[in-house]
Amino acid sequence: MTDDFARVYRELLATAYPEAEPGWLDEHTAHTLTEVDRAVALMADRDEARRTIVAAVREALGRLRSHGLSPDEPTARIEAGGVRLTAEARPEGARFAVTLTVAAEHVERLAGLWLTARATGARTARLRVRHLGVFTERGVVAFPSLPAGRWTFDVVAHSWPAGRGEVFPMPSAETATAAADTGSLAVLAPNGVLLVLHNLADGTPILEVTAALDAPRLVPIRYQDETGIPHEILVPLVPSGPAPASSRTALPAFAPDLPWQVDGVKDLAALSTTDPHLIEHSIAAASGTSALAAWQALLPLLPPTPANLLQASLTRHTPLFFRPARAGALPAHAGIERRSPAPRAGRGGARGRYGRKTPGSRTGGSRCGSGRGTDQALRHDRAPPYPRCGAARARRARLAVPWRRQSFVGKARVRLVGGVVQRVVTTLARVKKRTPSMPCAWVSPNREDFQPPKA
Amino acid sequence: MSNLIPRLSDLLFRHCGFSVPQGFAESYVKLHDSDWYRAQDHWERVVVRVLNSTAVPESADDEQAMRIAVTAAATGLHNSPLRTRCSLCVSEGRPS
Repeated sequence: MTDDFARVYRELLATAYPEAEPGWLDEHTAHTLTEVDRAVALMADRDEARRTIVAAVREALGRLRSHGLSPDEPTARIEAGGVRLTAEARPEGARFAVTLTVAAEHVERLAGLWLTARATGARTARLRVRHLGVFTERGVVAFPSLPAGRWTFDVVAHSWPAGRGEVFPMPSAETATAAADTGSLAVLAPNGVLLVLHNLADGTPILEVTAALDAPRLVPIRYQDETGIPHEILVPLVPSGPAPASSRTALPAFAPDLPWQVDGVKDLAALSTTDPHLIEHSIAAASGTSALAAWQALLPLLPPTPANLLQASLTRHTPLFFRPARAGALPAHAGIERRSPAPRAGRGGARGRYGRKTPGSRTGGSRCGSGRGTDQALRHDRAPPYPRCGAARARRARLAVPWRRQSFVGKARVRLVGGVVQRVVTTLARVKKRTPSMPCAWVSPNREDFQPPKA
Repeated sequence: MSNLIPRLSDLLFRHCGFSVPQGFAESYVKLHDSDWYRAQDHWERVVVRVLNSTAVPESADDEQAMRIAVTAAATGLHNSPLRTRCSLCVSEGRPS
């Protein structure tokens, strides 16, 4: 075992101490190899002991599922594989606090093992959220806020080397399991961050991150693709109003059956020391989603250096026609108010008290005045702004182009690009020619006719 | 994610999931003048060399192989004269 490793280690030692004598190198190499063998053997023993107790806990959780734990049966005691599992549930308002306690020899080996808990039953919500909990060194795992229902628990796969407290391993989002259930995977981390993976069935997962925050934060997501290459993405969360902050982003090359994890929320100051490629990758993944609006909202809150970096990335990845998915995602500094649709008064469009048009109706689209102004320009999930009069409708019908394909709708002044209310200007530093150059004769492109010089 | 080379910042924690000597990550980063990026680079290069050696049995799966390699590399770097001098820094001409 140690022959080749001994050579590797001796080379490292000889490089670090070129002045050392061969006897000194041999002595320290042998001593260190003994230490390494002992450490690896100790690790193997711990791993084996932990595997045993985790298998027993898995079996106990399976029996608990058969036994049932619910508000009607709030306690359960299960013995399996040498462990004794006690489950207790007590009401906490409209929800329940469920505690699992494991009593066994070497129960401290369970520390860092993550479980998911979810409530099933007819009365539970359609989107069943899995709540994450982790075993302490005393063999206790607590789920402080579970909804009513029949509670089931599972060991999170790949949580063997569960990391520090601010890293949350996520359960595998296997397509078959998730698609058979709701098509989505929703996980609530212990720090209150809700993560929902959408579109698992069609292979283009969209991650929605939601959390109640009082200041803008970043949520790092780590995952691997099918080839095992690690990916990391930062998801920005910008609170606006009383509603929780939410962002949607794509996960390029996400493999549902491989482990992924979420780190704890980070302050914006972390952007100053973040790898620029990570920011670029995150913004590229956010392109076309609401996370892009959150990135733009972060611009005025950052110091100059990361702000410039962010601005450059946003300029590269912001589509020409970009509008936030909802007005609530807009930052307060944009100076945009969300207005309710203005009342319509007949053919002339919306008019105010004195017969003047209300601000919401000052749209330049149609003289029919469909009450579509700033608000309509921000909400593209509403009805398409087809004109209501016959001639314009006929013109639109002849064009037969869906309104979503229009390159520009609404006012340029209210578009949020790069945190400023200006049109976006993209400069292409280097472009590739579409057609290759061909040899040609030297001919002036604008050959002038022979003319006598003017006198 | 346990089949990836762990970050030194993750190895600072007790329940990091890997078995490394106590205080290894701190001393290794200090050995590199608190340059976390250089320390992480050298740490990963050492782990890769250990992974490709016979210290890791061929029968080990990816997670187990990484755990063995991390334990062997960290123990070899911490409980030896390499604790006070980094061989990769010396080869790069940096005093350590």
